[in-house]
Amino acid sequence: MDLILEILDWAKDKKDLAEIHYENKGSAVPILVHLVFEGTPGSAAGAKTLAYLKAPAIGKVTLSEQKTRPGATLKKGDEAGYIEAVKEKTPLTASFSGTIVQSVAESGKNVGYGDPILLVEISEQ
Amino acid sequence: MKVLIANRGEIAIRVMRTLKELGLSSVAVYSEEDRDSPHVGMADEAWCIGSAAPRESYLNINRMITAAKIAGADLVHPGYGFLSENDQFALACEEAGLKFIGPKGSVMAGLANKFATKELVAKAGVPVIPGSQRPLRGVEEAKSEAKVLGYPVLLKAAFGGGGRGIVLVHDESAMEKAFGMSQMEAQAAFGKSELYMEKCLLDARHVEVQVAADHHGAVRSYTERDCTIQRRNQKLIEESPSPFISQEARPRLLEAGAKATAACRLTALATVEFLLLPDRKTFYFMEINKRIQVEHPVTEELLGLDLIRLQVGLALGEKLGPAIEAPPGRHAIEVRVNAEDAAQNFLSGEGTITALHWPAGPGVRVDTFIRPYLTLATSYDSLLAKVIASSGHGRPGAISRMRRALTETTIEGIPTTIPFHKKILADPVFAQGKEWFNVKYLDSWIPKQRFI
Repeated sequence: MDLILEILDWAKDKKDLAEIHYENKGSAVPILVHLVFEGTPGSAAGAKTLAYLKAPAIGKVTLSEQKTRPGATLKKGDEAGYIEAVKEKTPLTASFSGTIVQSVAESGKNVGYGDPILLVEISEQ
Repeated sequence: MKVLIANRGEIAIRVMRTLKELGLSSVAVYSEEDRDSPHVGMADEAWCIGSAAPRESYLNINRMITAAKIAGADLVHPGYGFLSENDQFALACEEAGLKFIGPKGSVMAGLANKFATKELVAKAGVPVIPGSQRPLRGVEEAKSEAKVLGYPVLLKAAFGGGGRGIVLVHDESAMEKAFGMSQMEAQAAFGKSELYMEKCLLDARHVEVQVAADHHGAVRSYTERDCTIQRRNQKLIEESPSPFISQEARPRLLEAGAKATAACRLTALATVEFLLLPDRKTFYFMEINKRIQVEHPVTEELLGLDLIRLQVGLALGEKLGPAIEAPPGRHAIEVRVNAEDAAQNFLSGEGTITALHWPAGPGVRVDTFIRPYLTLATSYDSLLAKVIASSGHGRPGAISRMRRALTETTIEGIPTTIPFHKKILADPVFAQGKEWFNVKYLDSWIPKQRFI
């Protein structure tokens, strides 16, 4: 129930949302949530795809302020920042093109491998 | 104080349990494939360090150290396998200001050469397996050495270990090919092609001694463990005391273990492996392992010890306590439950655990990490759990208790070695423990069985 409330809370100010499909495979109790929103005919045509750009390594993340501010355009192959670990510096490279929605991780903080860093509205994969 | 556990699965959970009892904070690391693995949720804090492959995660020194620094850990427990006997890792920890729970990096580096270690131990008066006096300089020297020792002989990689890098040579006609192959394999697996030779002791049992040494010069042997039930050099059952060592030889064996540990200048927990001959009193040093072993619970249950606690204490400079003796009549035995199908030549199994029930009751212990609905990771070893049974009614009591425990055990959704264990525990030769059998026993026993 908490999970559904969390999803609804997240969705409440997303104007053009038609459907949310949430699935967590492999967890202790598998959950599948499928919410369909009524009342916005045709909005499916304008449906957006959101994705996270995830940390390619564990370490301290540094983000390019210019490239990662909300609304900024991200092109596939762009380096939005980097992760510093012991004897290893890994660039944060965009694997898709889109528009930055927001930063989920804070520049200067530590992240684990696979942690979400940037929420991006994808325009091209 | 915070301890990072540079490992996964059951040993990570084992270490965390003692840390909790000691009031120490635990930090877990995990690979992408282990995101839902129980050791992650059990720690006070957890960090994902890389993708599934061991070299991207559990074998990756830089990422392990990164996690330790990020988490602000003070100590690192390496568990067994992975980086636990990697001197580069121990040195990297020391360099990063982390206390490695194990021997000093420089001491480990010195012991990487198995041949040199053997010489060190022999000098201290510990009997070693008859073999070449020095590393083999070529196939001609190998042939002349083998003539003196007598075939069959073993070619061993000087920088090998863990049962790897060993080639059996039956007679002189096979030596040329075996020598070349052995050198190539050693170079590929360990980066150094140096080989030495040992007589192949047929008809031997594997008996190892649990030892600990502190930073104040004290060295203590605890008990021996008999690990003769093996398949392809991998232990499946371990027990203590060994039913096949004579009363006279046992104290000599324990003393040899202590001597070997002292000779290697180890100030940590160690296990010294020996081969025991059918006369039940002649034994030879085989190898020294400078980490916690998979089968450590056998010693813990026999003696009421916490070996992880001992490791942490030694790392913090504590002194060893007094020697401990097992009460007479006490016996402990462990079976390794692997995700393997005995009916299909022990093929590794995959899948999701759909039902799980562990035994309980007096003298039964289960060390595991699996839980219902866990999907098994495929990038790592197949060990699911260890079941340990201990009894004050001798070996028959321990075996009976183990058989009872296994009838209470349910694991569904994946194949396990439980059917194998039920059979071997009922085998008259194994159960009676009087008639001699050696480390090759399963090679002839398994084909005679029908596992359904």
